[in-house]
Amino acid sequence: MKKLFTILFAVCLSCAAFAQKFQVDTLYKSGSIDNRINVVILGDGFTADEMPKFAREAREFADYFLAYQPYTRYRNYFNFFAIQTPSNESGVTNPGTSPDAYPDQPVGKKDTFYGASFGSYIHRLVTITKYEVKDEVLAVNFPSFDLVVVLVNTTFYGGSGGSIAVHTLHDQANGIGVHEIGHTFSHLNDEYWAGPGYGWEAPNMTLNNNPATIKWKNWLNEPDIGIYQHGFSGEAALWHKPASGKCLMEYLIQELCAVCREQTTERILQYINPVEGIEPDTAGIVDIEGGKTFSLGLLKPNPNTLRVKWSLDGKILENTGDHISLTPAQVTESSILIAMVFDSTTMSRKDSIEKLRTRTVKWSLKSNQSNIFQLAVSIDTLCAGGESTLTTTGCRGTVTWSGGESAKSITVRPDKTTAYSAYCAVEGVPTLKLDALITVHPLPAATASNSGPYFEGSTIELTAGGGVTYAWAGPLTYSANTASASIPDAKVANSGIYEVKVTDVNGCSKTVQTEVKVDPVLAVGNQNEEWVKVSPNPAEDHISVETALPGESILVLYDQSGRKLLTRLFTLKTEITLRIPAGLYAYHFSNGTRETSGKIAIR
Amino acid sequence: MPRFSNAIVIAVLAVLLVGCGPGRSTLTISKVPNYDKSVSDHIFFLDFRVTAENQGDREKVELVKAISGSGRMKNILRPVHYPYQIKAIPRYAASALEKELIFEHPLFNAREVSEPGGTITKVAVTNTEGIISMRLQEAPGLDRLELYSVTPEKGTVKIYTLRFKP
Repeated sequence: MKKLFTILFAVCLSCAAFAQKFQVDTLYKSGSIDNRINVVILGDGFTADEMPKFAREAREFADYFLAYQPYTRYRNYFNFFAIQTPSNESGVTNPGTSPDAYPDQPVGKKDTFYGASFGSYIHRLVTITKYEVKDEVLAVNFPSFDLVVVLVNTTFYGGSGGSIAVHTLHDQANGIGVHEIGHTFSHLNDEYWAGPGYGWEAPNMTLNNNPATIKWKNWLNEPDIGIYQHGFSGEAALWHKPASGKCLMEYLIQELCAVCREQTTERILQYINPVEGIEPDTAGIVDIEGGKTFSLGLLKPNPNTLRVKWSLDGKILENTGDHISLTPAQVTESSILIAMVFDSTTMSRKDSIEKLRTRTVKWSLKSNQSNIFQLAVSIDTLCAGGESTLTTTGCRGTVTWSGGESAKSITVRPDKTTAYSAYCAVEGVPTLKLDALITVHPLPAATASNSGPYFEGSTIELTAGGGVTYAWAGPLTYSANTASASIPDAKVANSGIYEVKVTDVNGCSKTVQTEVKVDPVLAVGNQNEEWVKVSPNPAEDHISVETALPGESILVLYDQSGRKLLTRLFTLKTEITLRIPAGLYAYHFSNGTRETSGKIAIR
Repeated sequence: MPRFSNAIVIAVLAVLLVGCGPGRSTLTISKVPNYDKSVSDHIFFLDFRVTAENQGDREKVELVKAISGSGRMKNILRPVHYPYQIKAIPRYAASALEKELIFEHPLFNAREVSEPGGTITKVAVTNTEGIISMRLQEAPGLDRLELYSVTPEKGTVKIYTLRFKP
């Protein structure tokens, strides 16, 4: 028993010695392991002398992988490392028992680090056999890996997938590794038909063939993207894929199709936070005394598709860069600054993705100018109908108002002089109260009138009242600033609405209107033209109109308001019977281009 | 470079598990090789050998390798949809989110076979012996790890429990 214990103890010590450190080469390191996808490349069948070759092959694979989209755009979201584990022998075991074994490949067993071997039954199926060795190397040298690729030192084609990707150095074998990472990292299904039982819902595989609802509906307008059946009979006919022969998930010689790129992009952005640095720290409350700059350390893809939105207390700010500066005046006692970072990459067209994928950074701010409960009124004296904003600052608790509102700021429109109170309630201390009085003046009793209606040539008289200052405005850009205003030699174009802004001693204003009418009849003179005679004047129940002008003449009779009473067409002379009340009337005579007006009294 | 046969590895585990006590169902965390008590985050690398003498027999499981690494992992796992699976469920003494981990069944799985021209096919592979390699992030209250065999023939059957001791 004692002997057995001794043996086991010795084995324990040996085990500790086995936890061996190997050289870890950094191929590409763009940032912290916690915030990158870490790809670890292992080599099998490389002897100590062949380690430079392994390092070269590992870098070639990294470059090959990063040449695929979307990895190219997001290459700085990845780290690549290679662990040097020299094998005792160079090459790979080849059992040579498979029917499809390469005739020119030497058969034999090799003593290699991970025991890689071509398949016994399917030759091209190259796998490692020493999983426990692989785990030990990773546990001791790079336990936080995310993806593992094993390169097998032979140029004969072969490889396999699974929890790790394994492939040889054949020119076409690198595609195996990228394809397998499509499964492991992006959770893509194969786009070749693998047979019954291999169909399941995946980002690039579905039973749904409805273009309106299919997973990749947003890509259907892209070349090479459609709804393709996996086959035309049996289970294969039920399953659909987005590309046909145009995707790495179907053919290793292809790029990833747009749908698989989208899924891969989303997976990258699921794991990697583009906001790597935040300054100042978001813990605690940032005092803006003297001003402060806030900045984000962003991990930018190439091209940079990160979009930044800043908001202060819910209001979007114009700045869209990775930093912003604030002054104390912009900040209240308890302001909140938020930066929202969203990758607007065209690699993804997922619906509603902005809401899901936006990274938010939030700072709590205070200003040294707002430590005391204060109430500010934007306007304390109003004219009826005006509005004012009352704003509190410095309350560490809840602000309520005498009107029942609960907000730090309210906008009011009182119709009479009104007192307002703001209350600051903080748990454990007496409620603070601040008052503000808003004085409201009535609007002036403004009036406006004119002495019309008017004939052309007469003088328009405008009159306003109720204020101390006046501002007239009317047709033909008319303006005046007196209570009474006149417009001589009126024209029809002077007709229209005249407005006057009447302002009283309190500065309150009201605008009122008066309508001016100007008739095309000329303002009458006393002399009669020799070429027309209207008689008798004064008249009683008829008038006689006589002219020396040949051709058709027209006489129009108006009352004093400018209303047309009658129109008579005649040649040389006419008699008109009148049945109108006594008073003063106007007539307008025209003959061709000649015209004149006159007055006539009716008794 | 030190190399060991599988027999020696098993012997090592016999020593490390439960202070060299009998049985393979308890793992003393502090004695797991490469376990660094000075760091706060540990990742256990566990290799289980799964065997079945005949197809349809209940799988026999033994832990053949346990080693610890320091750090945290994102645990990017390849999804498994093949009907034969191994389901691993970490259980915790205190309330915690118990998340199932699904692995390829080492005795029944599918392998992709590719051609230099780029075409790929899938072949079903059956074995009488295979390895499940898994990583497990150490978490407070980690009590045990249960392994289930999932097959179309027998459904979900518990095949192994690995208990953890501090």
